[in-house]
Amino acid sequence: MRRSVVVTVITAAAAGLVLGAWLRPGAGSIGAGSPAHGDETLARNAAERLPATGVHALSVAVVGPDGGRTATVGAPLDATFEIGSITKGITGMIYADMVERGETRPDARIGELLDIGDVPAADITLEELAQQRSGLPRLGGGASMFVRAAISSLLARNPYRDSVEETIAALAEVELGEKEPLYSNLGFAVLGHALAAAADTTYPELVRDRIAEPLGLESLTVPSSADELGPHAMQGRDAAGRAQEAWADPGSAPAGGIRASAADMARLATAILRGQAPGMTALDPAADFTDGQRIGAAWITEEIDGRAITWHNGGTGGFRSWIGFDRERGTAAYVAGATSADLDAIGLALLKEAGQ
Amino acid sequence: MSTVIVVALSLWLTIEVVSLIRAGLGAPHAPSRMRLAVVAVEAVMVVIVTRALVPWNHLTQWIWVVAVTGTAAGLALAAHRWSRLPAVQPGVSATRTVASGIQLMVLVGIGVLVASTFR
Repeated sequence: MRRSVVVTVITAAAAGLVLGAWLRPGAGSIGAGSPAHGDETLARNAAERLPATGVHALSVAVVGPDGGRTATVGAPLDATFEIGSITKGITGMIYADMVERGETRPDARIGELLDIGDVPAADITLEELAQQRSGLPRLGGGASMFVRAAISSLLARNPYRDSVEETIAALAEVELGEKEPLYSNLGFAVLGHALAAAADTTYPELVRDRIAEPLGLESLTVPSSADELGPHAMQGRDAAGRAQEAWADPGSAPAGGIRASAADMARLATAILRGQAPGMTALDPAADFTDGQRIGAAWITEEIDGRAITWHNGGTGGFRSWIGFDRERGTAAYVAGATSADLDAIGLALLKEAGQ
Repeated sequence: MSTVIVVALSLWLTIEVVSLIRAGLGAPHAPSRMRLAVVAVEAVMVVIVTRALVPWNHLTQWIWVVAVTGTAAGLALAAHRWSRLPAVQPGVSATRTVASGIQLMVLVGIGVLVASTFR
């Protein structure tokens, strides 16, 4: 091989090395030295626990007997993050609140509330949906959903693009399983829409009227499209740093469609710890779930290091989240990040520290 | 599961980059410009797709950086070999040539589509 070719190849390789290092997955991740807002100690404490790469923005709240503290890292303090499936906990609280008000019943069949005809799913009760033992599969849409999920993953798009009507119509197609604990996004989407039907409204309005407005949570919203994300919406990213489309769709909203700021999640947690939030019984364990876990209406309770911790986590294309309560100690912790990396351990560590 | 994905897709990435370097050095699987282009574009497409899909961490991300380095070297070798190759392999049927052209366009399409999501 000629010397000139060798030089060309080495030069190209060097250029590739520089380009690769610049564009490498995880470049731009936040860490302990990243710009923070809000409570500096909390921000530093959370950021020090992050993996070396993969988290691109963080929203944190801790509530203790002495009040609440919030912080963000790599994001403005008022930035809203997708809370993912923590939404299910809020849907569960609305369910419990409506039952307490006598607006619906745990044994109400979804066939009574939704226009789905005489399909087998019509006999599923609201309580079965709330306790994740309805027999519905994890996702609706059958095999086509898996294809859609694979393509969405490749193209960083939201795989859940169904309207409310399409989500409800999926009930006619699904094959019901045993009434055993099985985490179901479809189940909670249906629960939210059934509750909205019982209240003669929509799910986003139900969240606004029953949770956000009574507790003064201005940033806690259910955007139904990208146009409704609001001016403070944080861009979601996967661990590699690729921007992910917001999960803002009406069909699956009750299972994972809420966005909120750290301050509003702290207010929500404070209201829950004080027993002042609507539908508090949703947090009380009412049935066995899995592996030592018990479930209320979405909320999981399990013993961790001798403490009864009530929690829920969440994950969307560009966010991961966790919120947990030690109700006996009167402490709570919430963490959400622009990442596809799990943040449960960080949230739990912050909760343990809040009680010390 | 995450480890399995990283290992499997890293293996795929390695195979594609090695294939490109070998093609640039004169390996028989790229006997024409058309086939060399397919091998080169396939390697670049896999670099892009694995950047998007693999759950890299702070250590394994350097596998991808090494792959980009190897791909750049492979592309330089392929460019050097390009002028010495016929446009299509003599004796190969028109059907196979058309199939290679379609394969090339599909690979370019996937690569551009996924690359457009990086922002």
